[in-house]
Parts: sequence; C-alpha cells; structure tokens
Amino acid sequence: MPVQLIPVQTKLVTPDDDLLEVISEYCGPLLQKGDILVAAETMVAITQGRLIRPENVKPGRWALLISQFVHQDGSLSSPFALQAVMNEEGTLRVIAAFIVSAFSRVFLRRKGDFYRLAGKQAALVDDITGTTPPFDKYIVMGPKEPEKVVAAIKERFGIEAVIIDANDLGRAQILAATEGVDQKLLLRLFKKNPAGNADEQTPLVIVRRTS
Amino acid sequence: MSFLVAFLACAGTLSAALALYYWHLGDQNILFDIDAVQDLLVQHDPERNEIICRCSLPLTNRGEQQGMVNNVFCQPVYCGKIMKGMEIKSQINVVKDKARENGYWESLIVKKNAHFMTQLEVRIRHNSVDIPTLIRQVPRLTIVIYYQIVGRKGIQWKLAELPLPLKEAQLPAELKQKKVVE
Repeated sequence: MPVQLIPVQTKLVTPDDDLLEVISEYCGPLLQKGDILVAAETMVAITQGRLIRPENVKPGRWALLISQFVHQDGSLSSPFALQAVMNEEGTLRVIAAFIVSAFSRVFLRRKGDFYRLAGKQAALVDDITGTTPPFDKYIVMGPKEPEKVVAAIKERFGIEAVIIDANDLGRAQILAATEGVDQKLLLRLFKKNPAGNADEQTPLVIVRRTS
Repeated sequence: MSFLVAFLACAGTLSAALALYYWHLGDQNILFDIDAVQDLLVQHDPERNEIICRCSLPLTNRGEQQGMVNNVFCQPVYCGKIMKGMEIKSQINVVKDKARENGYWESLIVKKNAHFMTQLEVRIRHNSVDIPTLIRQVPRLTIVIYYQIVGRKGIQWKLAELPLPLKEAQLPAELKQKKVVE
C-alpha cells in the first residue's frame, strides 16, 4: 500500500510546551481523515519534563560498577544515566537484570537480556549528547504513560497516533499506538528514520495513504 | 558453618575481583592541550579599535576510557584597572563540518586516544584607550578555559590557562607557557 511520509518541522519543543497544542499549531492545518500522526518519543518526554541534569544525579556504587560492563556506545555506560534508570525502575530490579543477563550472555550467548529485564526506561533513556541541543546537556528519560498520550491525540484530532523511538542506526520501536495502526508497516517505514536524528527538528511525521 | 565460610570466601573473592576490574579499567583524561596550540593569529582593527585573537587548540583524551565534554566556558583573567573600559568576547568551538557559529558548546563524546581541534576566538575592544596604549598596559591577556567532563567514573571540572599575546603577529612560540590545573 503506497504511503506518503510528511515530516513536520516545529519550533524547538521545550518542557514549557503542551504536546497537544504543538500538534495543533504545526500539524492542525495539514491533518486529513485517515492520517496517522507519529510523534518522536524524545519530544513527548521533553514536553513531560523528563529531563535530568547529570549534575543532579549521584551515582551509587552499583551504578558505577554495572555501567562499566555496558558497551561505551550505549547510554547506560554512563553511571549517571544508569542511576537515573535505577531511580525509576528500582535498584534491585536493575541489579537482578545485570546478574541474569551476565549469566545468559556467558552461558546462553544471548544478548540484550539486560535491556529486556531492567525495565522500559533502560532501553529508552538517552544520555547527554544523545539529544538535539539544548537537551544534549540532559539525560532524557523515556516518556511516561505513552498509551494515554496517543489516546489523547486520537481523541482531540480524530486520527490514529503513534509514539516511536527511531534512530539513524536503522532501529525503530513503537512505544504506544492507537488500535487502528498497522504497526508492522510503520516499523518498516521508520527504519530509515524519516524524521532524522540531528538538527532537522521534525519530531512529528504524518503518514498518509495515497491511492 | 563450612557452607557459610565458603559463601563468604566466594563473596569476598568476587567483590575483590570486581574492585580490581573497576580499578583496572581506568578513567578518561580529557584535556585542552595548551602545549599544542596552533595557528595563532592576532589581528588589529584600528577603525573599530578591536583586537582579534584566534588560535587552534587540540582537545585530547589520553585516558583509558571515553568521556564527554559537556560544558566549556572561557573568560579573561583580570588584568588591572584598564579592564574597566574593556569589552571582551570569547568563544570556543569544535572545528567540524557543521560547527555552530553562535558559541554554543554542543556536548561532545571524546573516545579513548581521540582528539578534536577547537578554535578559540577572543575579541577585545576598549571604549577610551587606543590599541597601542592598550598593548603597552596589557601585553598579554590570559584566558581561562573551564570545562566539565562527564566520564564513566564521575564528573570532573578542569581548568586551562592560555596567555594570548595582543601584539599583531603570528606567535605560536609565545604560547608555550603551559599551565593546566586539574
């Protein structure tokens, strides 16, 4: 089924903004019946104020230790981001995930168990440098209650809505979607990350079916 | 009893092994390498009564781990009463394809053994004294670069002092007065 992807450029969205108002201002005139509105998870998190300065996080011994075992390219290789995750998901849960994943890695040769077990925030957190300025100075947590957010978008604008975590590395993950969304199709479309990862400032993408 | 002793011995060995591993990994050692300043250029603009100093400054990681340069601030050191009428603007940027020209320091990952070139620009104006008089009183202006490194073992603030000659010239040799304080 042919579809058209329309990235929508917005102003710099900050914690002072209301997500629905931003959508209304920038997408309102463009939206048509049958469209799917895809919102970047980082933007949703920013509007929810899910930003933490590393200076305001005091990493504990477990965060300092466990972060040393995470590959340096990952956000959790920073003890500050890992401590922020521990604060939300629970220190015990993260320690247990670390121990189990260490065993499964060594004995079952299976990767990724740590992120599966340590809670949603472990996979969603962005360390400093991971987000467009000025939020490059912050640890950005994943959005809270994404299901409620997509439901609110659908209720206000009468279209299907999705919150997605996509990046330029070809990975995409749907955090929440309303019922009428073809998730497989969206994942395929967003593997190429049409919204971009850098300074594009296009955190909203309209997916439109074309005949 | 013997089970307890064995358990404690195992726990102790594991803790010691982890502590050793943690220590063995080392930390980042990111520095503005003042010893390696390049391309110093001092220009005078008598019409605008302005002195412009530019130089390239390597930012190097000599440590065992990567780190992130999160914040960088630069400001002049007080140089006497003449400073009252002085307007000094200083900014430091990473030299790269899409560098921001507005002075915003974008958080930067510096991997182990990697280095980036940065450019420091200082613009000095005085509202009542002309350039020759200013240079007589302030032959060199020291700029302090204060930078924050977020590493895998914590946050560090470091400081580098860079004395800039104000005489119109290209004088890399005069900058060989290194002073790095950690």
